Amino acid sequence: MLEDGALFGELAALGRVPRAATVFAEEDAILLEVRWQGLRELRKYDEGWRRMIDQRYRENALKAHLQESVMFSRLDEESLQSVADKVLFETYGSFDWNVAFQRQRQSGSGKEPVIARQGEYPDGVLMIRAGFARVSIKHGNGERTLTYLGAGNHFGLGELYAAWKNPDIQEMAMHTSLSALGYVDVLRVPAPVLEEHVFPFMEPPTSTTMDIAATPVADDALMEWAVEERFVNATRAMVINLERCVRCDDCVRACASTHGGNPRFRRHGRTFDSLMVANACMHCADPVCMIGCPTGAIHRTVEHGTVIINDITCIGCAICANSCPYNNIAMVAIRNPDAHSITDPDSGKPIFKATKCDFCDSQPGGPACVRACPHDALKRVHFREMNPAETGQ
Amino acid sequence: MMQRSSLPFVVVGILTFALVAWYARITSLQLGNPAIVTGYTLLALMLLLGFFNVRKRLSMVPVGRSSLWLEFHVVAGVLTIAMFWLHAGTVWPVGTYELVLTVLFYLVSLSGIFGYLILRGLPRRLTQTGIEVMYERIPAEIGEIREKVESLTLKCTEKTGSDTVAQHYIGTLNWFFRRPRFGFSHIVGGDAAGHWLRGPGSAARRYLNNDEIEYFDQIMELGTLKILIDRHFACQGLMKKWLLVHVPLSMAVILVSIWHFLLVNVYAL
Repeated sequence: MLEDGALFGELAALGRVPRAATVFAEEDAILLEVRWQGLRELRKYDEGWRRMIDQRYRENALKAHLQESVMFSRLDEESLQSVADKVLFETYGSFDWNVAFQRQRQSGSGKEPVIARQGEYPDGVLMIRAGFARVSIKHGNGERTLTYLGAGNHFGLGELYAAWKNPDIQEMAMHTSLSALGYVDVLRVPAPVLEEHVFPFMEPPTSTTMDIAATPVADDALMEWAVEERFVNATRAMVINLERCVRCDDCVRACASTHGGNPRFRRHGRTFDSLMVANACMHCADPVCMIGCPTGAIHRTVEHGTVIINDITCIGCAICANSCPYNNIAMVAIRNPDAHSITDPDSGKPIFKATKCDFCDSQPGGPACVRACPHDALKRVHFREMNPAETGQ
Repeated sequence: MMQRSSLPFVVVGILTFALVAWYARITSLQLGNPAIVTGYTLLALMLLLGFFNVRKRLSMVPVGRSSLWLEFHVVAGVLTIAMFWLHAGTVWPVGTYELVLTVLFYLVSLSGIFGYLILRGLPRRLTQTGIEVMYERIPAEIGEIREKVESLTLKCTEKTGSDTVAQHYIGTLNWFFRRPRFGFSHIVGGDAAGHWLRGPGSAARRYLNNDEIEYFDQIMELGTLKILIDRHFACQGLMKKWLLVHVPLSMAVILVSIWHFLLVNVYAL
């Protein structure tokens, strides 16, 4: 029950994730909405505010979050509270990670913040609360990505369980490393908590990430590439199977005819083997394009979580276009029905607005590009759920 | 080659043909006119095939995935050929008007089969080039390559004091870098371009010293890149241009068929 002065929704707003609860007004209520841009500024400059958010998370959402995990789902209220009291909060990477990523792309080098290093002693299980992290292992003179973890996944359980099960083993080290792909929120559950509440009731893990290391490197080259390019962030990436695509541009024409003559993507992009991720908005799990929008014009829709731009409130500042790590937002000069550029009355310069794929949010029948492809070469995919066989790989 | 989602269309197509053929046979045995049922079915099929082009232009309207329409188009196209022979009772009619109609129909069918085959084969070959380039951008890409080659040639002459590379460019390589070449070879999967570049294109190499070879090898690398771009130009061009034959001919067949339908209904029935 929320009462006068209560605050809600700040975790979803700051984490750029969908809301986890629905709030109903049981009587007339007056609410003050602080847009997430405001919350972000408060969080940035006020240490007390940051502490309060962590505290509120511990009070409100942590237990629910823990209970969602298979590890803690069997615990009663009291045990769960005991676990929650001992959990540590950690953050890796920059909140606006896109800047570092773009710099890294240009220079061809750059290091990801390491969360846990191969060979070190594991002191607790790491649960990913938000963002993405890479699990890797030393291979030759480089690091081989075995998998990547997102919200709800955990790391290090297998090693800790093995250490608990075989106390005679003197040195129990991490088999793999974990590094942050951008901004990652982590919950560290200390080993003693697991030994008390989890391991005695846990089935031994039947498979580990080390099983992946036994496969040939070529088998997971696609995943390695997707992680390297940060396409793992995509929930609706436009993936084109180039062995089926006849380059007819029906997809581009369909997009244009659905959006008043202006296509919202380019049939061009990064390729791997026979797959191309075209320059179309991927409706990211972590949409960094939203960071910095001064008017909140770029936002998620309530119904589907699609990232769209409100043309009325977009002021054409290009912050979102510059923030997008994938160059999927374009600035276009707006025109009147006679196709003439609309200019600023003071400066006489054309007025620009940000434009990008809106996943045909207002259209019945789903995205026009997918419907228009005569060869089923174009798909909109969630990279985490992508089945290479579906794309013809 | 055939997708699983085509199966329902294939089954319906076979059933439709069997039903119409059976009904035509019965009508014939009853001394009726079997051409009426086969003719109406044929005209309906032609119109349905033509709707695929209309659907492409109405992409904002949710009228089913284009891929399903294409599968239907292919199956219905094959059925139409069978239905045409059933209706005409021959593969080569004798009347002048019917002959014109038949020739147009065969041209549409052949262009359709040709299109189907190239659209299945060429994308794979393009993917194997390892580069992606938009068709409209190709002239600009070739222009950029040519500028780089000319710049390397000039630099080579300036740095080495020898004009052997420049002479070779003017006399031989200029022809190759000026515009897309060896189109037919690219389409049929040959390597005439590579063969030319390794042969006449590289003929001057033996007369160069180490400094010149350094520049010349860079020019050859650009030549290899241009071959890949030429392949895109030839294959993408063909994948776009075959429709310029298929679609107008289809329209002509439909128009001539409608006229045939009117004549038959006015004078023959």
